[in-house]
Amino acid sequence: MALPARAGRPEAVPPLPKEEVRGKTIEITSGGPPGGPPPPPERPEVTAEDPREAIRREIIDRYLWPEEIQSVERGERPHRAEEAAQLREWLRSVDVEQTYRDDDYYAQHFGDEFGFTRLSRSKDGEELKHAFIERVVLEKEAKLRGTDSAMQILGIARMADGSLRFHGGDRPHEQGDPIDQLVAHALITGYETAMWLKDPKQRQEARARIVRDSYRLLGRVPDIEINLDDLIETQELVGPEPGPEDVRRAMSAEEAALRRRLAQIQKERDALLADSKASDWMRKQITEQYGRDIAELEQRLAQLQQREAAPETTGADDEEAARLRGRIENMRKQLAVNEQNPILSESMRESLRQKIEADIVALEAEIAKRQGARAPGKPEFPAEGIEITFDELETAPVSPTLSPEAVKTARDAYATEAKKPSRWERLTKVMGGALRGMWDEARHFGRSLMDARWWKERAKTVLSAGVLDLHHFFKYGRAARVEAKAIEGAYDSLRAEVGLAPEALEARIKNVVDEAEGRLMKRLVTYKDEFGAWVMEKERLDTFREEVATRIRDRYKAEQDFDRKGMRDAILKTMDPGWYRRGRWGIMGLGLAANGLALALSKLGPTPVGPERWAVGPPKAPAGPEGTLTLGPIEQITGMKGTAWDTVKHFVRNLKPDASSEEMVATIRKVLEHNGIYEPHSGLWPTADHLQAVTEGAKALGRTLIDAHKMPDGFPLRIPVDEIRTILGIGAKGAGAVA
Amino acid sequence: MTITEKAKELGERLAASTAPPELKTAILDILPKMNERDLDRVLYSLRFEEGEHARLEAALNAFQADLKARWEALKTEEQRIADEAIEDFLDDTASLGAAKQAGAVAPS
Repeated sequence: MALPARAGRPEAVPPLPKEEVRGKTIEITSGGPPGGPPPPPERPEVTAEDPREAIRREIIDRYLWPEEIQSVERGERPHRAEEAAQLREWLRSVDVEQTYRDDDYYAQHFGDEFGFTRLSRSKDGEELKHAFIERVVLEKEAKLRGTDSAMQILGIARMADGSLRFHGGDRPHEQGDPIDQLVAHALITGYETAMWLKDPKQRQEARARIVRDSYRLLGRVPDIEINLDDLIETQELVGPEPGPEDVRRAMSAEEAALRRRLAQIQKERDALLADSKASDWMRKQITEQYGRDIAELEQRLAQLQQREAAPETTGADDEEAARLRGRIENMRKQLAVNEQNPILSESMRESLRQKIEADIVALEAEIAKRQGARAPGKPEFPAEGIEITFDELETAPVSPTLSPEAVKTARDAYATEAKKPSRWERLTKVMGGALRGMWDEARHFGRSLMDARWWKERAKTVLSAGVLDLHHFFKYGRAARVEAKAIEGAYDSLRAEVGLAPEALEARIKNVVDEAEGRLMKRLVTYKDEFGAWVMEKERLDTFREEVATRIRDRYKAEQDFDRKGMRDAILKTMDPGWYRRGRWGIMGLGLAANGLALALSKLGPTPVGPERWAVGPPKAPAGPEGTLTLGPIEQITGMKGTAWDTVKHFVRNLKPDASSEEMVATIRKVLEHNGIYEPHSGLWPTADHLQAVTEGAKALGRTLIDAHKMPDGFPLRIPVDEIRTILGIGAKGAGAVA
Repeated sequence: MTITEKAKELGERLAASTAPPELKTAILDILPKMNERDLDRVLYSLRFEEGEHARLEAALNAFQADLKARWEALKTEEQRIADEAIEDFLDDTASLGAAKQAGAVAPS
């Protein structure tokens, strides 16, 4: 990365907070709140000669321009994490529908963006309002996603109070150390800038360097080398795939690691056996226990060596080059599909085009290099005998599956632990509904990821139904309504736990009223003397009781509204960003799906886990001959908004603004048939062939007929794009201009 | 950590996880197909889950503490509301009594 190296730091740096450590005042490298809780003992101690300050300065100088440093320090612009929080707030608060009703709201949220204006909307070829809003929201989401994933990979977290904590990407479950805004800003900026590098290799190296720098700041090496970034790459259209070189490197690295581990275990065992105090029984145990580990390692080493010694195959390079050419061919086809995809906005199309073209150039360069580097007699890497799955990217060592003992250990531990009460029993009790929803989302995410892989393997479009469907699902806030219910339930449970259940509150009101009535009676006695017995009549006292109770209830209601908001905030701030908006990055942020869940689901194969609440993804096309592109029928799944009619109408208007009512009727009819939905009260299509088609549609989807009047908002409506295009006369597979 | 230790941790954490039972079963079922790296990934997710849950629980506890304190403080206000109601009622009684004495309102 071509960032300038600078000698010194500007003068404008504010003094760092100071802290007393063992009687000596020193500067600490973080901007955490002074006087906060002392660091736990396991953290490296801060000493007067702390090298981390130098590292911090180096990082800031390396990744930031001088002007940027100054503007962040002076508070003229928010630092990256803060910016992301603001962006998230914007995305959370924005209500797309309101922009159509409320001009002030629209100006407030979208007024600063470049694009659609009211004046220009009538011109041909200008961006329409809905397209403009869609683009702005998508761009902001993409930006937020970028920052979020950078923060996650680097292991920087923004706390509820706005402070930053840094735990390193490998220990996300830890609280981490406080980190100052500027260095966090530098790391995140550096990481994001690295993502712009076109060459995948350079990009990977630049990112790896930043991650290394971040660990230098922590003064340690990573615990486990889990690269979440790999996961993100898997979602990209043309991410790097491991070539033979990568495999060889990974294997030799793994072999070295295995040998180191073996030597270490042997050394440990010898040291234990050499202990004169050990009894015979202990020696036996040690020998057995270590023997198992050593045997396991030796077995893995033998397997590795066996692979390396596999017979060479000729023409591996040719095969590789052919494979690469096939990929280029598929990418070109992809490019053509994208050009005609009505779902893509112009800016998205442009960015996809640039990315694919850059990758084609890179692949062509690789083919040229491969052919140039070929030398006769040079040992070639055996292509046979090694299966690289999609998960095993460059960094993943190739290792055998778990031994039966390990599997048994895990299952035994599970069985033992499952009998004990779970640590999260209370949480599950309180937040049960919401947690369940969260897991469903995670599962959904895992499935969409799996689909993305499947598409990638067959060079199919990633920007197809599944991903977009998810986007719409979140965008129209169906998830948010589900949560509101869950949050309400949790609120009731929490109140009940601190004795604020509705019954308890009623009893409390009754006490206050009784007591107030007593006081009133005492004072009314004088009035009775003066005005007569009527002042203490039961009806009057009952009115008084009712009045006091009403006033207190009103006050309670205000307090409860406040509580509810506080509860919502407490949850949102904690689980943010995944809880509320539930974008794909949010799920990743929660780390639920992370790698493990997606992996678990992908390994399960085509059988889905649990009920398919939101079955997504296009029907799988039969695999064509090697190297050919088999495109299945394009089907878009969209959450129903209002009625099926409204949703389809909106969809058709996007495709063809001047569609006639006959075309509209034919389209809705087609969609109902395709989804197996029947309309019991309409006289529009009671024909036998329509009913037959509806029944077949339902059968094809494996479900019973659905009453059009009973579908919930957000119902996943499958729209057969190709057939609708034919009905509208604009040609199948995107042939035809679309607004 | 050895693989065995990791496997043990995985089993324990999975049992404690809030994940739906069918998902837990699925993960246990595919264990024999996993390699060490896969194990790391699942373990990583589970550790992450614990961190997130701990944060959520802490937030809920803090909310509850706040809730308790505020509703406790509300007791004073309840008294004030009751006092106001008493005063209002007495005012009404006084004016009504005066009106009755003056003959403006027929005695009930």
